[in-house]
Amino acid sequence: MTTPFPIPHRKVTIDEIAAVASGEGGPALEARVQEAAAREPQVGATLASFLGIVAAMENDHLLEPPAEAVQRAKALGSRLSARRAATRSPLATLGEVFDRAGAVVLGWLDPNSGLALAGVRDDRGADLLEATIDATAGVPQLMIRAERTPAQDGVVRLVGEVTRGDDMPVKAMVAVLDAHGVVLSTDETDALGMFALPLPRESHEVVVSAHASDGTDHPTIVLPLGPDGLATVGREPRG
Amino acid sequence: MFASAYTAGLLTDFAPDASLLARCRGGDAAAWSLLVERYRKLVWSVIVKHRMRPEEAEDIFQHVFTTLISNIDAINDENALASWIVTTTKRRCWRVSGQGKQAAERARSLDADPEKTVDPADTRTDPGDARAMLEKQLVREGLERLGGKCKDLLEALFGAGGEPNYTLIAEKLGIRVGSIGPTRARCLEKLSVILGRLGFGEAPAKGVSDGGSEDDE
Repeated sequence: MTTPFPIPHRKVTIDEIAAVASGEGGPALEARVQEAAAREPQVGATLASFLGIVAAMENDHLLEPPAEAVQRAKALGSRLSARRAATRSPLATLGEVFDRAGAVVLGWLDPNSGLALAGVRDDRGADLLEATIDATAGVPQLMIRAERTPAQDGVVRLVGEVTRGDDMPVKAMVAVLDAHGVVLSTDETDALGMFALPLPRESHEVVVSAHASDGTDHPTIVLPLGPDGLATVGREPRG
Repeated sequence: MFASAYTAGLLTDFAPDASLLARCRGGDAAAWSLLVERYRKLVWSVIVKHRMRPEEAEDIFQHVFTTLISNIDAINDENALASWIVTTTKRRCWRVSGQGKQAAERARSLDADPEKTVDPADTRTDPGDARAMLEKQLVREGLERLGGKCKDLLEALFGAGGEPNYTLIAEKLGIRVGSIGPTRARCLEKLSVILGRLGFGEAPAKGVSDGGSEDDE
């Protein structure tokens, strides 16, 4: 009869820890590594870290957005960041925001999505315009969202809302001007901050004159439609 | 065996968020592309979590990046950009999912399958989700910092889905099948060191639960 000698603990290698974290090596190796992990804090920490990495990477391929969407996001940023460097006056910034909306957002907005921002109609041919004016000294952030709406009567309208950053409606006068500054149409926002006004083909820019809740006026906001604004805003409905 | 395998050279090609944001503010289009590339999966993971419809998902994806570049001067804490993105995306998802549609309508349009409907409260109150998303993002960033064949190997082994095919991986990376195991161990060790420095596995990253988004719609 022989007396069994205790088997000294054999150190595990980093390869073995990695194999277990990868789900390889079989139950015997896993048990040995787990035992070592319980015995030696350094092994335990390494195993925990490897397992955390593997778990975090699992199914990451399923979180890949459509390549086209990524390309559009990149293109949008490239265009804007290049323009930001060129000019940074408040008026130019507003113009770029609106021009961006017309030129780029319209490009990716799916006409079949049935998207109805601003809480209006179910017109699938509508286009979306959106501008956010950052807060300036004493004046809260202002958001202008609007949709170009080719109605059944053939009249193209700009329908939208003017709100603060916290979604509170803003009282404002909205006007569409032509390239010579002639007022083509005007409207005032209602209690919900909404407006609707005709958008003729000659439309060149949108002017928003908003009033802050304390009665003070925002600076008049001019939103140029950009050099291709007419082609963008006044073009034929899609879909 | 457990000595740090980290070397300063690992970071040479990696541009931190603060650097990319500064370059974007200066009009560097390439920096913007890198930001989009870096955070595309994070944005998409939040959208997927909220189970948005495909057309809504792409709309939200564009909105988040549009919002980011519109507010790029207002990002105060450049070390919390990931949290800012998660918060902004979540808020946009809530807004879109509640816009002009009642939950019941949504359920009907999705064959009344409650698993497919959007419940804002489902994720609004679950900081664990945000933490998991941010930890995955941290690993992506760690891999980006790691770079080279290590990054390619670990992504092929763990991030591609399904059982890894060692023969194909070896062929693709130009290494011997027999060296995959040891290389995997060394790469995991390097990545582990990098992630340790980034705070992987620790408390939730700054800004995870406190909002901090500009998108207070």
